[in-house]
Amino acid sequence: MMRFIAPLLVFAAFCSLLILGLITDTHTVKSALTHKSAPAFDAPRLLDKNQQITSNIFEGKISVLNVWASWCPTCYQEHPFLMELAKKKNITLYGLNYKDTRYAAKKTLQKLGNPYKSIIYDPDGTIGLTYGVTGTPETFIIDRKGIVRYKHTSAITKDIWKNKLLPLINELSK
Amino acid sequence: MMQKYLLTIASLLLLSLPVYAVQEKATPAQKQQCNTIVNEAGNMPNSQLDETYHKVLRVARCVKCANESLESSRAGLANDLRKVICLKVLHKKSVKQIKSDLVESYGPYILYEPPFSIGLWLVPIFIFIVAVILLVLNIRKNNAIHSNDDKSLDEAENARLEQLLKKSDEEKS
Repeated sequence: MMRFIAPLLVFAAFCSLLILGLITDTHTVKSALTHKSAPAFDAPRLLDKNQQITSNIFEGKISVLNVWASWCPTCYQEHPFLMELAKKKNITLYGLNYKDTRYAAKKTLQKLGNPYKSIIYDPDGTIGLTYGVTGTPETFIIDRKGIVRYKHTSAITKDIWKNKLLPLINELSK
Repeated sequence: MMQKYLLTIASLLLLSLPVYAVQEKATPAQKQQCNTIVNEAGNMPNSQLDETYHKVLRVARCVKCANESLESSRAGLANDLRKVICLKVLHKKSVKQIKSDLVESYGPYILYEPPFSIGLWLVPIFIFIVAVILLVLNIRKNNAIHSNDDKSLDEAENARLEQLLKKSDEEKS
């Protein structure tokens, strides 16, 4: 009996590896920054070019950093949810305006509303690249010590917020 | 004891330095230079830098289009990453440094060279060794069984075997 079961088991193990390879989502790579300090930056603000904004903003509170651009259709889809998020008291929502122009970005915010406490202006995308951004929108959860805890690629949906991001934020605010 | 303390403190200090992984302080002239190199297939100032630049591009993955290297990809993100690498090359960073900077931001996934890990490299070798051992054991076991078979023929049986062989020879001829 063993003669038949042993090869069958090996074959089943091999098949499950292949199936795992098929169902693993290779497009959303876990951020390399997870559990590392958020990369430092010193950049102008989107809404006031004479004012600088640095990575010190993340200290002392739980931050949600949302990478967005006016040319990004998925960001529009995500925008109403961000407006909801802005009302929450236990997190601070920051924006990283990625590879955009001041004019287009400001116009978008005027039309749809501004959910962000402040926005980093990154027209050539260099800050985005230090954060390992592969596209917009992307959202980082950063803890009180300025350490990146999670990155979500693509739009935040209510489902993802409820099941992934909110439990993490609750954990971090303990 | 003292040395151990000093080492720990030194490494902690190193760890607490801000990470400027991809961002490079670049002059507008350097940015312009990299724009020309990347967008219009311009050349690096000298062949040594050019070699460094292409060495990195060949082993770096375009993270947006996983099966293309930064050398061949036409994606916008690949272009941006090429500019970042170009600036690093102009800052005289080595291939190794640039690679580790990229890994800092994007993880080992960005390189086509998987990092050394016990699971990845040693487990297949381990499985091979186990298989060889099993094979050898099995062969030995089989040999043992068959050598017993030989001995188990006693004289009467040998005589009968001889007789049978003779008989079949006669039938043939």
